Amino acid sequence: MNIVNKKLLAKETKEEDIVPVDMRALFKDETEIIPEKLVKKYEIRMAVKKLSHWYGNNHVLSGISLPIFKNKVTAIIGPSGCGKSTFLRDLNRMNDLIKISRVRGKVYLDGINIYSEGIDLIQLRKKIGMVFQKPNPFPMSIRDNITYGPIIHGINKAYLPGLIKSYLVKAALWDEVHDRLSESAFSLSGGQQQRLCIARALSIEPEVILFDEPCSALDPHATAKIEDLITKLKAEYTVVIVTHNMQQAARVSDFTAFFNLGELIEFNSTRDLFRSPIRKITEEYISGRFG
Amino acid sequence: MTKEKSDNSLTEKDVSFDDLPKRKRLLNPKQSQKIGYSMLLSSIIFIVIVLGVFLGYIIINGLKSINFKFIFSSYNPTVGRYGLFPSIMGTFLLIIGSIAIAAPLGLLAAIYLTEYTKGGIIVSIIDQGINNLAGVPSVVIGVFGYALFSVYLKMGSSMIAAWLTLACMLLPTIIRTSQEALRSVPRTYREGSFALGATKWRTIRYVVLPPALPGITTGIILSLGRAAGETAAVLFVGSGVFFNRFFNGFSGTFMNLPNFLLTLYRSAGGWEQVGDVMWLTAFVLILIVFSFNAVAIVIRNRSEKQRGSY
Repeated sequence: MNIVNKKLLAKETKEEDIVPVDMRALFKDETEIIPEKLVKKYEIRMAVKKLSHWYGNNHVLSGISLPIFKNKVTAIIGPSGCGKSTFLRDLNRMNDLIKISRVRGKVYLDGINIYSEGIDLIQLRKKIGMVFQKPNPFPMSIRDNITYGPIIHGINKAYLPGLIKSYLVKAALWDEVHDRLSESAFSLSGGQQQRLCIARALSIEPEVILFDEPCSALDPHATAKIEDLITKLKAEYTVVIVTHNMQQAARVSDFTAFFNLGELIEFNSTRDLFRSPIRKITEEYISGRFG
Repeated sequence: MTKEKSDNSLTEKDVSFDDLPKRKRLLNPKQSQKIGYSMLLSSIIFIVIVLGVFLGYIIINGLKSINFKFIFSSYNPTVGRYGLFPSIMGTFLLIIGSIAIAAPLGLLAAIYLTEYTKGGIIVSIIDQGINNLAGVPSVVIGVFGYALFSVYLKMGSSMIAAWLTLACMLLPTIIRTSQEALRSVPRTYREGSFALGATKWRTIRYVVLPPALPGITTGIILSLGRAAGETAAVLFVGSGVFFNRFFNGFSGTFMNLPNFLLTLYRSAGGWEQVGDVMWLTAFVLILIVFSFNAVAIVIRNRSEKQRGSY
């Protein structure tokens, strides 16, 4: 097992207890929905296998299996209430915070099931960052928003000023805020706040970044900036984005998964899914006839 | 049925909105707006006047009878010395001691209840219990404090027993207001912090507590006044009088301003003799409460400024 994987485990867990699986093999019996050629061609970063999710008695996801390819943008689309946000929040176990939620199935990161016992949630969330629907900067200065994550993970204070700049540059926000880092994060506009949240997510050097409808609260100009940013980020990160905006999915993503009523209906490269959807319901959705 | 019909007729005949029959009203909207506004205005004027007269009366009379010799001397009515200082000191220590016990305890309990419990019967029983405790008359708390601290735990009539009794009285309010303040912090802050790999404690300490601090401070300010003015509860656990001394030790009886007022009221001297001292006592009590509040407000504003407005 490589060092990266070891860090995921809580200290008391022995590494021989958890053996990484071959994630390609997981999709051998899923060829009906997951095209075989994609699984063969691209490297898999995360793999979801037969994931079901309940809130109380409400069955919101049933048997989702989905590969997430390394250094690519995967978009999750579907009508409201289809479980796409729940799915995204299962990928970094954010749903653990909701007491009535129950998960069955497996989610692998680099071959290790993140739902198995002995997973260190702190390390998991360090590896899988998240940007939320509404910009949610902390009630602190812009600077402190960026340094919060690195401080948690024990970065020496001397390195923080350099980090602030590099992440704000990566999030395309540096030019707008470099002269007012001590100001409250709430003094920024909505679009700027969301880019600050992206910078904050980057600040812990995750490997995967989850975006939960990151532009739904933003105007078109701010949306364009964030989309631009997402396409740039895939060079270094693996990105999963939930969106209800199909144009956005078409613009930013390499692969698209279409969810409906808690099921994965279709998955393909974005180009193929939008040009020649296989299922009728997918075609109806992407052509705007329902949803 | 008839309603549906009229709805249909509206669309069919294309009656415009303005032509629809209007219901009769007692007042037109402008009139009712005026009446509503004048009710609001007159009530605030009334309150300002009452409060102004009330405070003004105490302050004027207090200042009129101000006498530093009185304020800074001990108490001994047998030689006609109604010195305030033992009572001032007692009130001061009661406030500091009871808040020092109740505030941290209450805040920690509130954090546990809001952030760590997951609902359920036991939690809701505790919640309701706290609500009910907040409404228990202080004299009952006094009886309880006497039985538990003075008698059972053998603390006797002492400042320490009074601290603990007052803390019991203040805890429900502090817990309740702190819980409200913590609940008002948006869930998205917590999520943002957890998503960065923060532990629960770090999230509470750095993301949840700072924006909740103003609300928590408000609860403490309310409690300060109650601790300063509490008369009945402390009567059971050691409030009394002693002569010729400023302070009787933490395990001895103490004097405090509200009970001093009561003593004066009951004293043989009558209004002519002790009226001045009573005004002065009331004035000093209000002054102490106000200055504690002022300190709390300054602390609150400073912490808000540090974080920046939002």
